[in-house]
Amino acid sequence: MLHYLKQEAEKAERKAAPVLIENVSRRSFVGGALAASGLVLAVRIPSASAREKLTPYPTGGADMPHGYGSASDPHVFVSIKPDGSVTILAHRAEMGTGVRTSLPTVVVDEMEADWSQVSITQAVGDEPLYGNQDTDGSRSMRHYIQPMRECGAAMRQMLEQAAATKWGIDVSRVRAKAHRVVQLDDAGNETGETLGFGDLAEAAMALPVPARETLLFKTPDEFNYMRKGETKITDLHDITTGKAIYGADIRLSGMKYAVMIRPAVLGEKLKSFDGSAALKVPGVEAVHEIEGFHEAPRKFAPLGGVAVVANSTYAAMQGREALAVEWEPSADHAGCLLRGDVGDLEEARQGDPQPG
Amino acid sequence: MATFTVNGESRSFDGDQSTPLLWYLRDEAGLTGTKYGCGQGLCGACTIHLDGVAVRSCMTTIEMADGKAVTTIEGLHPEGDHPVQKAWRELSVPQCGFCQAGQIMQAASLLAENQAPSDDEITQEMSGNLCRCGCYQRIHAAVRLAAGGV
Repeated sequence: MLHYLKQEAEKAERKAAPVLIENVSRRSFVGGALAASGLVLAVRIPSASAREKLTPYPTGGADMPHGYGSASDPHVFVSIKPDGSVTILAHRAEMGTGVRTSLPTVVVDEMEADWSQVSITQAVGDEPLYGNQDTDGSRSMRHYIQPMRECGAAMRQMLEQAAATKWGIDVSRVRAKAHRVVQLDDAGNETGETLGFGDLAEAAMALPVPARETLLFKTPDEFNYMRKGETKITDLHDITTGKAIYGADIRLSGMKYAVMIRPAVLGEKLKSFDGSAALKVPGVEAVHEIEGFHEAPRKFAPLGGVAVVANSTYAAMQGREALAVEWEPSADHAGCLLRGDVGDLEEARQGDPQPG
Repeated sequence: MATFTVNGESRSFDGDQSTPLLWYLRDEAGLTGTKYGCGQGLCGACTIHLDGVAVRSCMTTIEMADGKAVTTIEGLHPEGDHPVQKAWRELSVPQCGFCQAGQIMQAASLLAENQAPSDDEITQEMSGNLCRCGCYQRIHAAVRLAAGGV
């Protein structure tokens, strides 16, 4: 992300500053010396159509399973209530990199929404809709900054179009600014007329998503949140109060608890097991073999083993302790190292053309 | 049967008295803020207070809690505004957050005992709480901030 934003920043430096400061007193300049003390500066902001186009560049994201899905579609990722409150979907899982916050930040910044009016909802697993949801490989921001910016830019343009239509003026006379769309006069000065995002939400959401090649983006100097490093993670309060919910915290009515014993060594297969002692542990209800995946390369495939199901985690763990399990030794050299089998280790060393 | 309080509320448990408090809290009391990390007292993720002192709940049995006051992250402060929790937010300590309840409970116990710990004392007291995201510098800074008042 930083590299990308740096590139954008360099590009922006070569462009004219988007906020134009006009010396208003020049218009009423009547007689030389009077002007110096009566200098008035008015901020003229460029219209919605004065933003910049970006050329998409490949990141590999499009080649991931299910690609980007509908990640650029604000109808999928953004909702705005009449009171102006905005909800952004986080489609990647939080793993400690802050991605539940940072990806929505991109959308929020690009659509010119106010972070204090934003809440984040976790998306369910639905890759055809949201695009690839593997949260790994440092890929979330790298792959998704473009679709998220497109999503935010599309939402902003839909809000601007909705405002222009409501006012009966051209879209070049409006601009989204801090959760509102402001109206501009012919000279580009704010008229004082504004419409909040909440007022525009329904009309904006009824509009088709603008084609990608018509999307206009903010320049980095206009970013409110990106590149600032000031946005706190959305889960900060929940984490510090024990309310953040992790996978193991899910509680369903009548649910059982299961723990597994897996091979200590990669590649070992379950030879046999005896669950009778485990089943005698109070609370243990069942013992199941779980098939493993034994073809190389295993990648992320399950190792397999034996699962103990009980009415509490502790009972399941005690049941696991009581399992008698025999594993078929693995041909993997890792087995020798972990099991401390010196004979095999020596053999492995001798087979290594470059020991050491 | 063990009788004790959890976050001020009277409780009792007549099941297996060797049950670790961790599993009583998570499975019976539904207080999932306390996390299971290693189950062997090696990581500190399950740290709670027993009569105000930090203990590893995976190694503390129900029997050991008999007659005592158990405090979990959910009960550290009614609004979640214990100085340690505020300092944690001020300095954006957590990343994934999984170890943080344990870190916060450990820090709160430290500060209850020693209101002005030295850097060495902070390092020493917090060294049993592991963080795989590697938030250690921020954890240390937040303990110091909490000690100074937030």
